[in-house]
This record gives sequence, C-alpha cells and structure tokens, in this order.
Amino acid sequence: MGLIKKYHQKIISFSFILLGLFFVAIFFITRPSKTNVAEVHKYISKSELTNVSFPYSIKVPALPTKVDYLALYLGDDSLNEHDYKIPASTDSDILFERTYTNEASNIIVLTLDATKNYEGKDIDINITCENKCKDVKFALYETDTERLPKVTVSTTSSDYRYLWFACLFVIFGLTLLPLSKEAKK
Amino acid sequence: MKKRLLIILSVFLSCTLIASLVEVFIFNFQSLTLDQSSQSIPELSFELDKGKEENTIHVDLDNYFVNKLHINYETKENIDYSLSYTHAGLYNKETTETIEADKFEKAFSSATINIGQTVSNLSIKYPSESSLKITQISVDNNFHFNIFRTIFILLVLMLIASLILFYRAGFKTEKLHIYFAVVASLLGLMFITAQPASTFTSWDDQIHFQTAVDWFGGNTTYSSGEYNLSNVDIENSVGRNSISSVEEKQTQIDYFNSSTDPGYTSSNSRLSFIGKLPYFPMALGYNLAKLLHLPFTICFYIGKIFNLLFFVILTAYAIKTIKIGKRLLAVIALIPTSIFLASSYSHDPIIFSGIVIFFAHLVNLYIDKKSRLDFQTALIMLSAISLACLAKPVYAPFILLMLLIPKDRFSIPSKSTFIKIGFICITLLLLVSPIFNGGVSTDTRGSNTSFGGQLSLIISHPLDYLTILKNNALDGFFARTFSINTLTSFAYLSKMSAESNFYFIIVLLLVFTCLTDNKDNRLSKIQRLAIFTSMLPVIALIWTILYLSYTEVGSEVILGVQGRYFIPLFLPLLLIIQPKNIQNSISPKLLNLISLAIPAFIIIISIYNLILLPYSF
Repeated sequence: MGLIKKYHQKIISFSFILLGLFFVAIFFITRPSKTNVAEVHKYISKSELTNVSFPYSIKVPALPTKVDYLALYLGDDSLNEHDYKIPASTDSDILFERTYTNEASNIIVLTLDATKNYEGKDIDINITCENKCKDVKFALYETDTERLPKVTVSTTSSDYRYLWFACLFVIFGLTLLPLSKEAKK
Repeated sequence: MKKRLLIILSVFLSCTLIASLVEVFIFNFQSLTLDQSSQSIPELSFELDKGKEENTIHVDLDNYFVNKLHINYETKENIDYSLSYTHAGLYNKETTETIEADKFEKAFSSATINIGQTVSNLSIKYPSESSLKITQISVDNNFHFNIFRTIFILLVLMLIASLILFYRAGFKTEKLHIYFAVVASLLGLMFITAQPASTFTSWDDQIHFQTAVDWFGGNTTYSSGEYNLSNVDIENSVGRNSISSVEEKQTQIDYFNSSTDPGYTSSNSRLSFIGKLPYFPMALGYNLAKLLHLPFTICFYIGKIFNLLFFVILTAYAIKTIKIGKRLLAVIALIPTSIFLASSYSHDPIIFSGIVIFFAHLVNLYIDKKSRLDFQTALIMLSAISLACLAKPVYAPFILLMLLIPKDRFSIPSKSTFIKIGFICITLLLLVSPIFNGGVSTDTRGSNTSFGGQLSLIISHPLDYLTILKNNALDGFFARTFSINTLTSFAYLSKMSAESNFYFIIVLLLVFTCLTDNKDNRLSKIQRLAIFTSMLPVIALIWTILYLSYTEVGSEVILGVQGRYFIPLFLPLLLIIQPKNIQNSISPKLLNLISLAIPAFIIIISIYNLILLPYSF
C-alpha cells in the first residue's frame, strides 16, 4: 500500500496545521510595520464619528511645516458597499478627486495644491459619500510621497483575519490528529 | 444498469411527448379551434380620456375573444397601471375584472397581458403626469408553444412516473435518499423554470447573486444582466419589474442577454475567501457557464441549478447517513420554502444541508453503540457545521453537543478530552468569524441602524435587553417558527394568498411523520434536554444578530427575523419531542410514498398557481 494511502488521515491533519501556520506567516508578512509609521508619517488628527452626515468637512489644523501630500485613512464596517469621494473643487484644498473603491485602499494620498503654502494655515477636506455611509473612522497623516504609503493607521480587522484562519485550521488539524490512524490493508 | 437506463430514457421520451401534446391540444385548444371571426387583430382603435390625476384608454371590443392583449408603448420612467375588462361571467352576468399593480417597464417597449375571455370593452388607467405614450394595442389569439409551460408539464409527468416506479420497486426506506434526490431535483427545476429570469424573487437574492458573480475575484466588468440584477444600483436598475406573461418574460430574457455595457466594474467583495465558501455552488455554476460564453439567462439559471444540486446531494447524504428519522428529514427538506430557497440565489440551502449532516452523524453517535467518532466522521461533521456557520455563525453552539458523545464512541477514547477541547475552540472561533470575514456590518435597509450603537446599548443595559429578547423571541417563537412565512412562503413571488391553504397540510404532515417515524429513536432524556438547551443560544443569537444589524437603536421590537432562519432547527426539535411509545402498523412503503408525494403535490400546485400562471403563461 502506498505511503499516501496508508497515512492519508495523518497527512490531512498535518495539512490543516501547516495551512494554519502558513496563514500565520502571511499575517506577519503583510502586517504593516509600526516603525514605518513613525518614519514616514506624522500623525495629525484622528476622530471616530458615528452617524456622520455627508458631505463632511475635515478641518486639518495649521501645520508647522510645508506639506504637499496628506495620507487619509478612512474606515467603516462595510467600506466596500459605499463610495467615499474626496472631490477636487474650489471649496476644497485638494487637487485631484480620490475615490475609495475597495478594502485594499482604505488609505489614500491626497495631493494638495503645490502653488499654495499651507504652513500655518487650516486645510479643508470635504468627504462625500453615497449609499448611506455611517460610523466613519478617519485619521490623517502627513507624507512626503504621492505613492501609496506602505503602512496603514493600525492593523485592521482585515489583517487579523489571517490570524483567525490560522487558529481555525491549526485547531481543526489538532482536533483531527488524535483520531487519525494508519490505513490497514 | 443498462435496463435501468433504458427505462429512464423511455420514461423521459414518453413524458416529453405527452407534455408537448398537452401544451398543443389543451393549453392551445382555443387557439386551434377559433373560427375566422375570432382571429388576432393586429391593431385596435382606442380612445384616450385625459383626466386630472389619471388618464384612461378605452377599447371597445364588442364581445370579441381576447387570449392575449399586446400593448406597445414609449415611456421614460416605470409606470404603474391597471387594466379592467368586462366580460360575460357565470350565468352570462356582465363581470368586470381588474388587474392591478402591473408596470410599463421603461427598459421595454411592449407589455402582454393574459385575458382568455370574450371581452366587451376594456380600459387602461395610468397616472396623467407621466411620459407614457401608447402606440399600439392588439389582440393575439395565435397558437403559441410555451416552452416554460411545456418543461413544467414534463417535470410533473416525470415526477409522477418516478413515484410510480419507486412504488413498484418497493419504496424501501434504505433507498429513501435516492427517492428524495429525484423528487427534490424535479421540484427545484420546476421552481427555476417557472420563475422570472430575475432576482428580487427570493430574500436578498440580489446580494447573493452579486457575491456569486464576484466570487472568483472582483474587478469584473458587469454585463447588463449582472448590473441590473445585482445589488449595485437597486433604485436605477431596470428590467426586473413585475412580469405578467411569457412574452414579457421573453422580453426580459432578451433584454438581459443583450450586450449593452452599463460601464460598471465591480470591486472586491468584503467577504474573505473563507467567508465566501457558502456561495461556492452558485458561483461555480454561474461562472462555469459564463466561461463557456453562454447567454446571460442560461448562466443565471445554471447558477441556481448548481445551488439546487449541492443542496440535493448533501441532504440526500444526510438522509442516507442518519439512522433514525430518515422520513422526517426528507419531509423537512421538502418543506415548500426549503425547496424554493434551494432553487434561488441563497445560502440557506448550504446552511440547512450542513446542519442536517452534522445532526445525522451526531444522532447516530448518541444512539448507536456501534457508531464511532473516527477521523472521517469528525472531519465530515466539523466541515459541515463550519460551512453552515460561515454563512450564519448563530448555529455554532450546536458543536458543543459533541461534548456529550460518550467516551467509548471515540475511536481513541484516551484522547477524547483533548478532542473535546478542540470542539470548544472551534465553536468559539466560528462564533467570532463575522468579525474577521467581513460579515459584521450595519444593514442600512433598516432605518437609523447602527451595529456599534446597538451593541453599546446592550452592554450597558444587559437586563433590559434580556427583557426585549424574551418579549420578542419567546412570544414570537411559534409564530415565527411554524408560520406560513416559514413553511409555505415564496418570498416576493407569491402574488396570491393561496399558499395558506397548504400550510395546514404541511404542519399536519410534519406532525404525522414525527409520530410515525419514531422507530429506533433511542435518544435519552439527557440527550434530548441537551439538544433543547443548545437550541436556546442559537435562537437567542438569531434574534440578537438582527437586533444589532437591522433594528433601530433602542427599539423594543426586533425587526428582520424571518422564519427561514429556524428551518435548520426543525430536525433537532422534532427528534427531541418525538414520542417513543407510539406504534403504527402502516407499511413503510406507504409511509415513504406519503412523505414524498404530499409535499411534492403541494409544491406542484403552488408553483402552478402562484408562479407559472402569473409569470409564464
């Protein structure tokens, strides 16, 4: 009898455990490094609001230095179902319209008008939302790059899901392992 | 084997022939026998009477037979209209019938209404402040071969033939799972072909359909059908409004099959891969068909067929596995609402199948001293209940029933404690799964809802919440669990209230089967009490989840709880109340026939009256 056929139950059990450990590795690989936050970003403001009505205006308090870009983190329970937009208009200090479309981009970079010097001045950011948006959390960071920053504000629940997968598969495997036997001819 | 295949083939061919003959000579009898003076009229003259609030179009038909009335129109918005016609009723008494709540759909340009009467005059009323322009009204008395009706008749004949063949073969209880699979498949196919080719027929099907479309990855450029039938833009989607004839159904099919690009690209689903698993059957069917470049409607139907097949196969496995209550499980699975959900874009069939597979093995381990919790059984049980809990984690407390499995039933008794700790951990992980799988959110269809706000309120006032829970769950338990909405509801498809007639028969059948299928039910009092106790947190969680996500913060009435959430509880509930001491001398053959035939015929008559007649005639 082949080895696989003989030990298939143990193989399945260990596969679950290995899959769980794989997800642990994924969690640590994809998890944002907190040290990067301190290096790349300077925290400006943070607010957690419930029952926000849109359009909503964020007033960024006067910044001590010249800033060209801001990184805005927006999050709510069901980001995907709603369309958040930061329109560019004369009422806003933002040059280009940005739209949140999926979970991967819950942080976006806003380009400020480079012809203006915001040092010591307030910055207005208007956020619009369609389709009944609620319970918004946001945080604003100063950044020196137009590219999407590598880090997010904090490890979100979508990052911890890999730990949850890991726990589930490892426990599945450990539960089944004592029951697995060698197949007899 | 060859003989069986020959029998099946000959039955199929005979039924196809008979179905075609019935369609031609019974349903088209009037068209075939009409004289020259009652032929179709390509264009009727009509008068428009403009009113303050509504306009009326009058058509004088002078006692002309009208099988179908075609109306060609132009409109920029969907318009509600009513059609009234006068005909000679019983005893030649002049009778006026009115068809309310129909729509001129802006995406289409024609409507067809079935009348089938000799009409003296008719009128169409619609709001005067609308952009509607009626361009042509005609009478259609031609012969029409209705493919949907023919398929329905074919499926009915095949079901009857199957029951006869099964009866002649002895209707053995050991093969009940095969009989169930055949009957359930045929009934499910009847549902699928009779319904409009659209979502908004079953609960939340537009959301489940969208998840199925995006299952293998977002960034999909939606076709016209995908855009209008998913949850993308409900208010502005077109083409899915009420259909009242097979011609309108065909117009709807042609519209969704058109290649007009609505210019929408989807984003990734908020559900994780694991969270999307309950949607796999419908996603697989739909996307496989799409890969083969089949028309949209065919893909749409195949998605439903795959969902039905998974339900049938998994439930048949549970019926085969369970050692007591096989007939009871078959009857529960054939509850009209169950089969309707299995034929829709819904994850309720997977939930039901997962839970009954779990309970099938659990009950065997409880009552049969020879049963063993070995690797295979544990893998199947845990996988099945986990799949159900990924869709709705409220059923996770059932896993704790595995703690009561006697030590000697474990294939390795010395490790039973360790394994039981694993069961507890899996239960806890599944209970918190929505937090990590994208399933926790406020349902914004409920007014002023807030998951976080409601949770804070419960945590700060736990005793008050328990009172609200008691008032809603306890007082509404029987009303929700054994109501018409649980047993015989077809969600948004039921236009008539006729389903209430069969509700009592289904309840009686459930009671009858519970009392007669009690052989070998050796569940002890402790086991029955444990199963009952495990149901309490499940019921509490069902109500609590809806309170958190669908009910206004601070409300004392919990909204959104539907009877279908309790269908998976029927098997454990009926097994624990089943009396051991009642004996019957009815032959198992007859009992098996009753268990399958009665729900089958109730479903057939209901589909005919509530779905086929209004939507596919």
